[in-house]
Amino acid sequence: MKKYTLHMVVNGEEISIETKPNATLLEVLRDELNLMEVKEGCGQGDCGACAVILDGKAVNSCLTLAMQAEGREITTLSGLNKNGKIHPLQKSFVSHGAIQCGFCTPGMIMSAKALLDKNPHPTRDEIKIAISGNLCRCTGYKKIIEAIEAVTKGKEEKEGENVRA
Amino acid sequence: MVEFDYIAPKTMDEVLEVIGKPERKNSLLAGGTNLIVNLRANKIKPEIVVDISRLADFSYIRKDGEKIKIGSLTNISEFTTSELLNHQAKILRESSIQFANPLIRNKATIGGNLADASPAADAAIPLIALGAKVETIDSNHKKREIPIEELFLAPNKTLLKKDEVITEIEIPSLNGNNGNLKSAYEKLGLRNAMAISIVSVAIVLKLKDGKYIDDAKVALGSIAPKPIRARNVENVLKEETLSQSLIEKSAEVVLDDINPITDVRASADYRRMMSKALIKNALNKIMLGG
Repeated sequence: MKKYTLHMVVNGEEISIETKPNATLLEVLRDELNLMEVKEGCGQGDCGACAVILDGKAVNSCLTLAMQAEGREITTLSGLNKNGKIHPLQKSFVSHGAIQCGFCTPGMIMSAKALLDKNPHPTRDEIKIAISGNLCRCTGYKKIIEAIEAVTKGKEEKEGENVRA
Repeated sequence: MVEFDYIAPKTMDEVLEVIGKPERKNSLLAGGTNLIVNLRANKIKPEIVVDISRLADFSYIRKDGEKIKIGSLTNISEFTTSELLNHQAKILRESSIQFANPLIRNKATIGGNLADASPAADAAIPLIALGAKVETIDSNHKKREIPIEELFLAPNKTLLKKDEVITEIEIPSLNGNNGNLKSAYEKLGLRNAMAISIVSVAIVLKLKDGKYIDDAKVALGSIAPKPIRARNVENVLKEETLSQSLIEKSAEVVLDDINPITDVRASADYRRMMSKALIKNALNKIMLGG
């Protein structure tokens, strides 16, 4: 199968990479760029574990061909870290106990981030709708919603602590 | 995933050139939320995937005189926030809010949802009740218009030829009837998000003097091999005064319009009962001021 050169900006960094046309964006992010926070769950768009932000919109990277990211900007969870500090959403998820097994967390946070970028003060219902494409099989939804809500109400500091040593 | 070649044309002319060559089996990629699932499951085996999502100028919701025109590559997420739809095609916006989930809505396109021709295609039901049509173009650059109620033939089968693409959706003038037109949309799924419809119903009534029904369009999804218009219900409603007994009668005759199957989501019997219930709910909504 013919290979193509794909150019995209991932977490602020310009990337050029050879890819097969039938590779999903998820495969390239995980297997080529080692961004292990992007999870493969159902592979059908039901679970949202693979959610990334593509040009400002949260999408399922498992249902996106890598080639569709040509010339576009992708943000994954690790792209939220600034200067070694975690994002307020990440900090809030930790402090609210919104992480149990953690598998859904990167996708959940990307959906929440896309929401807050457009609407910094969403209602509880708007938060629920925004994460309705993300499944948490530990069923910790209440704490997840509370964690997001705390950030919108400025209850979390602007920048998280340096958790990643 | 199956192997295929990939091309992302920048213009419609290039798209038409590629799909005009039948010797090379192609699949059009718009949002990909159905196509990529099928490619991953090896259900379809195209030689070339034609990524039309890069085409400029096919993503818009705009007023054209009294009509509404929607580009075929418009994302469903655009519908959820459209003020124009909220004013003039309320049921289309309502259906978009219940369409899959936000991640899918950010990619899925209206043209793709129609061309995929699922019997449960959420966007098709309100569009049929609104009397909308699609405009297409083929590889000979010939355009045609197809009423959406005639577009579907069977599950995942449409009237579209292999070298034909949907370019635009047109919703006819409803504005002149403002105030006299009442509509309602009802969808029953097993949960709120990512729920494929068990039954969905869209109704548009043209009323005279408040409750006299001049004209009625009723569409249902997931209760036949394709989205349908419920002509028996329409005939009961037309030229009558909206009342509780008329609503009861409409709900009875919907059984003559539908032909549901039993599948993983619901039994045929349940779908029959719910079709009646949703017809009642929708008409009650309209009677109470819809």
